[in-house]
Amino acid sequence: MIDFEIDIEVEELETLCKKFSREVLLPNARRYEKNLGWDSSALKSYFDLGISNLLLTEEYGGFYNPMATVVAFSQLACGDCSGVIRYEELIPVSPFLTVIGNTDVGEKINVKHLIKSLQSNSNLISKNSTVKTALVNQCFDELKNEKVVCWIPGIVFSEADNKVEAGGLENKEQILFVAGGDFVATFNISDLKVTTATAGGLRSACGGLVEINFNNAKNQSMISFEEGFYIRSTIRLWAASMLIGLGTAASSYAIDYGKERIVFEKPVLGHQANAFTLSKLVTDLEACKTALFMGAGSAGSQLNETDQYACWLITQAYVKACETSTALCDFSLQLLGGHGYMKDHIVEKWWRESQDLVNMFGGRISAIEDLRHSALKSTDWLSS
Amino acid sequence: MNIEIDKTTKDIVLMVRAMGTEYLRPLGLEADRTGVAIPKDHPFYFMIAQSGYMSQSLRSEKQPGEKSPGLSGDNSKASNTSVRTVLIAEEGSYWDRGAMVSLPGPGLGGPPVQSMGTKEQKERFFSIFKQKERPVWAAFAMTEPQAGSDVARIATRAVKDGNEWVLNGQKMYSSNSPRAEWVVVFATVDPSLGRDGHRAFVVEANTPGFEILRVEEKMGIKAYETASFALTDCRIPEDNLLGGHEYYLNKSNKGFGGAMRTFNATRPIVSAMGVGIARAAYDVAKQFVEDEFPKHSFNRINRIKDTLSQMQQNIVFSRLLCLKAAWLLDMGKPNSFEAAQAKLFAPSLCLKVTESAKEILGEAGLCQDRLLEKFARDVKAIDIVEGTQQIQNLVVARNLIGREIIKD
Ligand SMILES: Cc1cc2nc3c(=O)[nH]c(=O)nc-3n(C[C@H](O)[C@H](O)[C@H](O)COP(=O)(O)OP(=O)(O)OC[C@H]3O[C@@H](n4cnc5c(N)ncnc54)[C@H](O)[C@@H]3O)c2cc1C
Repeated sequence: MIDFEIDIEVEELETLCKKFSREVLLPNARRYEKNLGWDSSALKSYFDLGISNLLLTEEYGGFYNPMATVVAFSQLACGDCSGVIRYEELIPVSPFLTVIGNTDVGEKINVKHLIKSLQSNSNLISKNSTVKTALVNQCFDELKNEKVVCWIPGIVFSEADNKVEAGGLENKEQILFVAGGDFVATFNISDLKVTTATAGGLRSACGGLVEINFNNAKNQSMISFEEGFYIRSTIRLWAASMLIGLGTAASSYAIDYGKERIVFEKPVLGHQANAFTLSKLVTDLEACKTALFMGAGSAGSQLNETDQYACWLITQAYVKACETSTALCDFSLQLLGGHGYMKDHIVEKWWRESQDLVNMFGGRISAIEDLRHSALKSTDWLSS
Repeated sequence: MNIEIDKTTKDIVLMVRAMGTEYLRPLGLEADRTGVAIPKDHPFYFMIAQSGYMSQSLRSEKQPGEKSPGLSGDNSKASNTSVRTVLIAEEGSYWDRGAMVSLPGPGLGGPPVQSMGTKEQKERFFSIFKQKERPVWAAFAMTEPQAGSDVARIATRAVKDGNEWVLNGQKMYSSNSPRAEWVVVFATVDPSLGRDGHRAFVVEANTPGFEILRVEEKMGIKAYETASFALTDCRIPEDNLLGGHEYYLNKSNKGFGGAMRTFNATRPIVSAMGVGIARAAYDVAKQFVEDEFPKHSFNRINRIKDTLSQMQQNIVFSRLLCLKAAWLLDMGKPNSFEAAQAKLFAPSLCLKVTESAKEILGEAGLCQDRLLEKFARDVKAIDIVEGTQQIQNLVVARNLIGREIIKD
């Protein structure tokens, strides 16, 4: 039966993440942005939430719960989206590990070992509450020694497209995973020609474009389109939940402000033009959220038909969320007038983050390409 | 109809272009990185002063039969420079809008003095821009903590005392005010009169009681300072009331009329700044496609070409609306509808252009050396300043449907 209800455990996790986001991250978000990092106590609380395993399948010791991932990261994004992206190592690499675990590449990399080191990274931070942010770098060093990677899957759609969008390129010692339409490959970042890799608008993230020469692949394995689509969609699920979190946070902030601020003898949102535009955008976001929740709620890692449908729904939600979340953050800032443009109001940060998030993690263009691929397939489960 | 640009204007635009590569872009990027405005004693500003740029936006009084600069054609009735200013604003902002706005000159303070000031006032306040020894600025201050769009709510009081005016109140978000020689301040002589009680005053920087409170931390356009200031028993000579007492006896000049005429002049200029940023974003995307995409699949290239062509459309339509509004002003014709249309159309579509450019570049677009992330932040301000998008909607709708139906 169709069911829109959310499990009680997932709701509890949402409450926990919301509390952490509002009480720990948000009040310090400006400072974190300036320092390009969180305090050790915030890091400890973050890893104590125990959410890093949420996209890892049970086979590798995870809980595999896409729905919980969506609610958790929607809440965390409004606390400090940039920081979440900086510190969360395991979530984005999880779908990769699931798919490549049983391939030649997986064997060569020793996926289980890799997961362990990623997990110990977070455990190390969470166990020792006195560690400073510098220790995080030390953790990264440890990862480096393990020669484990780096997380963002590059997106390559055809052999002709030999440019890959990727994040985390600053560490030349690491390995880049690439999920193509029908293959996965790993590369030493030091072997790659990185077109651009400097600090981005989402301050903590480091993105760039790398040129892939398949002759330089460390390891390469063929995978099915379905497997590739699964990897990409799962990353999009993560990004879409953060986009939805940002849009929701920005609109709530603007609603509070717009009910108080008087212009032309009425509250800003007492002017119907504003109220209607906001209503339309919030409704658009609700549509994305519903699709994302349904996709996440029904997604599994078996890659069967339902899972593929879930991937498609998630990708649709992601593409629409890219457009809607930026529009909603933009209109929310706009509702504050000049005040929205100043750093006194956090909505300015959400605006910047939403603007940048839409071009990360699998990228809108590649998502649209994926949807094109399925455009002539019957994806509507009622019509089939 | 004629789209050609006269030679003098072309030469100035080329000069701004040369200045753009060498100074505006690097200085703007530096300010964005550090969060600190370009210092007012920067040698670049002295160079600008020496070039005579500070007086270029000042309109000469109408001479019979004089031709308008800007777009060439039969415009013998005109004698001013809006079209030229629009083209310069676009070119300068292509390189860096913040650095462009930071340039010495009367800035937003110019139009109210131009449209409301007496001959003597224009002479007195503009003369400092005709010298070439040192850079000087002016500023404009309407916005207050409780009054931005809804200017009827301004609370800064002006009370006549003998042959002086005494001003009390607080202004905010006044651009370039910390370094201005004078600021045009709007205040009310009687709050119960709403807009009819408004008067415009020139407050000189060294006047006791004029105090900069803080420089704001903005999301973008960091090359110039935007600040709040207080006026505490600030006494200014009666001659600093723009237009003089008689000006306000004419009903159409009452209070807000003068400010409105200022906006009719500045809205096309500010919108053109958005066009400049959008054009720069387009160029980055185009270059990127040329460099990076030769090996890409046919489908993908076609989709990107669609996006680029949509970006071009947004840029060119926006530019034409700005030019039309400016040209009407140059012709001495009413332009409030067209100025509001330009300001309604251009900023949001120019933001869209920067977003499309970022989409084309993907993650590479987030990188600072690719500029696009900054362009998006810079262009957003244009949807807010000189009347927000909603206020432009109001003006356009009122013109279409009628003030009696479209209320505030
Ligand atoms: C970078 C920057 C530079 C600036 N420089 C200057 C300067 O040099 N001098 C100066 O005086 N000011 C300056 N400003 C201030 C600017 O002009 C105001 O911010 C702007 O007019 C909006 O006013 P506000 O911020 O008070 O917003 P508000 O007026 O409080 O508006 C809040 C929201 O309500 C909306 N709204 C208002 N009226 C209506 C309506 N009738 N119907 C529907 N919606 C409505 C607005 O569009 C906005 O979305 C600057 C602002 C910025 C951001």
